[in-house]
Amino acid sequence: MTSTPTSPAVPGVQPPARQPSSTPRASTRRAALGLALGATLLTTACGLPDRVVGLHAAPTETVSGAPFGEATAQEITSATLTEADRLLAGEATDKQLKAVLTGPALRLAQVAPRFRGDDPVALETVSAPTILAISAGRDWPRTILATTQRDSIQRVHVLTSASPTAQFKLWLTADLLPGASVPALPPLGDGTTLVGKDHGLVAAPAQVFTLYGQLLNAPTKKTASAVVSARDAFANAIKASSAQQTKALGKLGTLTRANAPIADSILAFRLADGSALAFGQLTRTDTIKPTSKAKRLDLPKDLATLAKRKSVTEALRLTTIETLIAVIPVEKKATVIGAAEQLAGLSAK
Amino acid sequence: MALLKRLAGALLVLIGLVPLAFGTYAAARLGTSGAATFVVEGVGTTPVLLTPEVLNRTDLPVEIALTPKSGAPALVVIGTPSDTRAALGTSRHTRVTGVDVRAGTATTTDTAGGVIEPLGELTLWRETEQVSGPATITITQATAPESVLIAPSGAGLESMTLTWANATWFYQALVLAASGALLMTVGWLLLRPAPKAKELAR
Repeated sequence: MTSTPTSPAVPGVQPPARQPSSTPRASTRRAALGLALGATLLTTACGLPDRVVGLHAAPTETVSGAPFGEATAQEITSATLTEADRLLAGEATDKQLKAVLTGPALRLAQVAPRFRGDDPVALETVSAPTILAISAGRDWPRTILATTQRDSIQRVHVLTSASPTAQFKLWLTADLLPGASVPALPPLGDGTTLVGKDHGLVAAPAQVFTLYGQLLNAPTKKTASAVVSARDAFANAIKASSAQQTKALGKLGTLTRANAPIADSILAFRLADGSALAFGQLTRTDTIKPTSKAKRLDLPKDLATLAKRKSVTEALRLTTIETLIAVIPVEKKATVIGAAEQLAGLSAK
Repeated sequence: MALLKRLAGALLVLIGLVPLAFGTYAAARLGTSGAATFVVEGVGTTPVLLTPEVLNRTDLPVEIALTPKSGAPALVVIGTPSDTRAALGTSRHTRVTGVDVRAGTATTTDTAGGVIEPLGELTLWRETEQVSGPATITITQATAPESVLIAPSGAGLESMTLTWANATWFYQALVLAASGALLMTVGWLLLRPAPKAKELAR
């Protein structure tokens, strides 16, 4: 504390009273000045108005993982399968089919009705779909892998959307072979990547399907492959059928059976362990020709009805579409876990 | 010293005038509900895009009030920013970029391009709504970040506003005005002439 100096007293004259700086009035002024300066600083501090209003940066969108949730995928799948069921059960036009189906599913739906026989082409989806996987990322095409149950058969469906303004369409439906199951996929939210050129598998999906087809050819010298096994129920049935028909024809005719993958009909999802679940479609062409010992070959009743003739003198050619599901590991052999076939064409001369 | 005090006083009066004026204006404009409404000018037949940079900058819900012209329904779709951008593609649209507080309007930028493809049937959207009369769509922050795309049809939109409401803003405006008044009072106290010696002696 310092004392305030005062003027010397002059008798008879009252000195003018000076306002000492420590008077209450001065203190008030100083306090007010300090308060005002403080308030000024506070109100003009950098970014304060934004904080007062509650402004902040917009949150960033997460672009990894699945682009939508399970509920949306289920809604899309249910709607698509229901519409596909409705169209396939009736007599839909090509335009109507193309609005809901694409790729292998459309190819099968476009098979002429006379080749379908009594087997309805409709999906006959009974249970609500369970979503197995959604393709990861925000780009297109986007895919959904789903499964439904009909009686004891587990069906797998692949849906795809080609562009932002394109609807999801059913790309493929195939049944799992008895006793087979789909291996573990990554968590739904993480999304699943589609296998590309850098596949990291025992072989690329296209190569696996090509080799598998070669193993089912008849006659064939290739009885085994290092990358794919042909010991599943479907392969066994095809091989048995080839042997049976060849034996039945004997020296009167020859059977050749050739399998080849259909271009742009292969899609593979990466599984949780790095392996892949691959879907593909093959064309099988069965050609039966009479030998020189037989002038003609009589056709079985069902084929005769389809061919609209009772016998052939040159060749009978049957085209069948094979829809396959395979598990392709990083090492060891790929195995087929789902398969179906559909007669799609016939020519008889 | 006295001159310095007077200068400081004058400065404080001037400084105080700004928050007093702005606070008073803001309080009057916001009202007790604290609703800040901005008009999106120039709406018509062009699709309007609202991105997270506008919708998700606060923790408050945003109310989008639309009035389509008679007989011209508008489709409102809500989706992720990347999906909305992808669906919009290179189509002609108006993007709301922010707000001009003083003008009470939203700032926009126009992008030329082709006609937008039909959006309603797409499976990209979290929500779609067909608006055929005056309607208010509320976007909460629970599903942020999101974009909203408004695709008018026919004669297009008549008007569109964006509203953020926060009752606290009204009281903050009052506090701002009071701070300005305080600064001006202090400035006036410093600015006014000091009492003369004779008056003090009395």
